[in-house]
Amino acid sequence: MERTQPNPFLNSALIVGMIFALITTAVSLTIGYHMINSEPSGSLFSPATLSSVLICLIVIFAGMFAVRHHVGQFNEPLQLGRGAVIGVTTGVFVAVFSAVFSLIWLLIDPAFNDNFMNAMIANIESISQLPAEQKEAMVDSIYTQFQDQATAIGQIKALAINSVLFGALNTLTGLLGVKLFAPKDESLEI
Amino acid sequence: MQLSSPLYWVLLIISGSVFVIALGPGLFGDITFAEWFVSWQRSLFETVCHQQPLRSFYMGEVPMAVCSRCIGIYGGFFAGSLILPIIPQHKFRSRYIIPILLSVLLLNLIDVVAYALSIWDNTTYSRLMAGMLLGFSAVTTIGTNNITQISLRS
Repeated sequence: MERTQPNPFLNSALIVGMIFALITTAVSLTIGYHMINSEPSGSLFSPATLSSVLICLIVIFAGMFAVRHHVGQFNEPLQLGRGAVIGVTTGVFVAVFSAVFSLIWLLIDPAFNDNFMNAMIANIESISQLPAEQKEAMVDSIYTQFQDQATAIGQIKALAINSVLFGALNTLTGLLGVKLFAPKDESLEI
Repeated sequence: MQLSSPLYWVLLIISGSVFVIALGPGLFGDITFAEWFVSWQRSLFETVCHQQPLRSFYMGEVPMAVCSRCIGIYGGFFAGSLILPIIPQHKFRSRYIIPILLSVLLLNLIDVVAYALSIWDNTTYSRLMAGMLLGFSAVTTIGTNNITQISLRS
């Protein structure tokens, strides 16, 4: 008889997705305000790049922790494929909730995006290592990007891009989560 | 993980796609730095990688879409996915793959922190190698049967 796994995983994906989205939003806001309130570093390694590294480290483990949460709830063997599904769902939830939290923050501080954009541009303009042409291209791109994000289409596009990337990366860490945390059942190895 | 498993092909397609996209727009022709900066490949990875040109490999005249460590991780993961079905299952592998994975993760974290604190310097190649080890260990862990897990409970 084919083995089925009726245990619902949406709770785990939702809870972990929301927590990780909160953490990533908090990290990016903290680093964003730090950047706004400090002088341009004049280096390519700005607080914004630190933010990317931290968010990367946090986001990619959401799928793994969702699997850990699911295992903690049911304590039953889990198929690898189930881990992948939990991972991709969690990744999408992280992207969705991050977008929602960012929009909510814009209601609290509507000037945040403009201030952050100005701080980023000021930082790029103060970098001495880059040729003027490259600086100009980067500034133009940042300006266009922030203008895009101010529109509904831009927000949907960013959400879709983040959902695809976070979903794909968390699929892989969801698989890893099964191997690291799920109780073993040799009949489920593939 | 066997060739006949649909999940293996899902893993291969996802890791292969991520790796090819991470190689950046320079893979598909000669472009300028400005075109690189507005490319969808770079935009896709901008929330998960610092993408500093000075810390990345170049494809043609422009940097890849991710830094050298990230391309190592994605490349190591994809290379591992390709050879996963022919890596033999062994009790040594089952027992030590998680400690190996955690050690390699720790190695990368130490490398990042030590560089940030100016304790030591690293190169694009050293970061590539460290990233490749991490990607390869991760995919090998996924393909290992009967893993000896590390208990988080006392």
